[in-house]
Amino acid sequence: MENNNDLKENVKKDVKEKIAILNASKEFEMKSEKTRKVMYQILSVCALFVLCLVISKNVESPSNSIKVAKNNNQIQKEQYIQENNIVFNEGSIKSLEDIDGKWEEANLEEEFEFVDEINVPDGLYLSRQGKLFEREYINNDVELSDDYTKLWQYTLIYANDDKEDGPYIEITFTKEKYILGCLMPDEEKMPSSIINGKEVKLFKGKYMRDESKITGEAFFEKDGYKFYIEAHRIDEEDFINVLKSILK
Amino acid sequence: MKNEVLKNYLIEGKIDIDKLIDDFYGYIYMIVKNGVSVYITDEDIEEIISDVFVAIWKNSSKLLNSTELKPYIAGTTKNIIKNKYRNLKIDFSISDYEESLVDNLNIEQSTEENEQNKIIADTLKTLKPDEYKVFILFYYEAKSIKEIVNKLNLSASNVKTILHRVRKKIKRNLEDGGYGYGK
Repeated sequence: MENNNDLKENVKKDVKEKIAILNASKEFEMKSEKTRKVMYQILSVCALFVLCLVISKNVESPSNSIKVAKNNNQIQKEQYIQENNIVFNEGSIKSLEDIDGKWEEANLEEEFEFVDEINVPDGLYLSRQGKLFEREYINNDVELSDDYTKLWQYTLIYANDDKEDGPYIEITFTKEKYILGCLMPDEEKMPSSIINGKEVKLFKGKYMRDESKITGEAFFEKDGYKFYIEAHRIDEEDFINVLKSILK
Repeated sequence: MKNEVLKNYLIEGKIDIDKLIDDFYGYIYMIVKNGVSVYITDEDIEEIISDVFVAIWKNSSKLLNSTELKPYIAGTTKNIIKNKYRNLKIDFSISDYEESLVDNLNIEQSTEENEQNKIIADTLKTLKPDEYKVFILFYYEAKSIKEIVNKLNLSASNVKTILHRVRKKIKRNLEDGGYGYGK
């Protein structure tokens, strides 16, 4: 009987561990390199077969083979998007316009539960957090108020003591129609990524002093808030992990 | 044992695994022990029983609250044993226990560990006790950082550091095992 009780307790521990593993594995979403290589090999063979078929039928019209080559690239790109769900757009959605607003330090960790769950790279700490207030339209929306009374957006800034070369992450979110300091991404022209089931617009640029780091930007909506994330001198993977931890 | 239905084992829509195991462990144990005609170790019994409960947890959202659990559990147990001992002759006399058996061969997800989950399971064996506790509280009990802080009496930065360390270990082992993010 005692042995049976031990077995039952082992089963409880085992079941909880297996369920935890199933939940954790969703976070990693990693693909087997072997599977990807085999799939790309199969794709390449199919693409070659199609190319040969088309060339043999259209030897006298070179423009057709160019179209086929473009279609194969499209197939590979779509396969990449489907498998990995991460697509970076070129350019930036950061606005260079001066923001007319008033900043106030605030404890956003107490106000928003998700702040505790944000997964930032080792060594970074929440160096600043606060709210941006704007002036409001008054007198039948004709004039702007003198005071900055309208809460517009929240910002979290993560950094370390190396202000010049260290990583830096700024997370801004708002319930308003747009985020100050961020241009709204063009829905049609910019393909979306899918992270934890949510649509995200991603942008990246190079960091010249270290090729392994990027400047990353992300825009998405969650729970009624619009989010704009701006990260500098950061690993691409760490950038994606920040987004995943917010989009849980 | 009276017929129990799923809704009696739900708390806020989620399965109460402890209660389920308390009530049905013995039942499944009997089915396995008496139904498998080959010698079976305690470890094998433990594995089969665990897999049955994990399968129920995974499929609970597809079941009705009024689903009677005994025939469902008996059917799940039968399928898991059949899969495990595919090449052996099994004298499985489930009819001793149930008049009607729910055949749930339509279960989408197999309880067999896939390769990726096995790597994560192996990583768990290398974790320190505090790392393991944080992992289970976060991924099984779905506790927030704040709740883990209160439960384990650690600081928030400590918990975040532990979680970050565990994730890094898992990721490193997955990469060593041939898994990676696409570029």
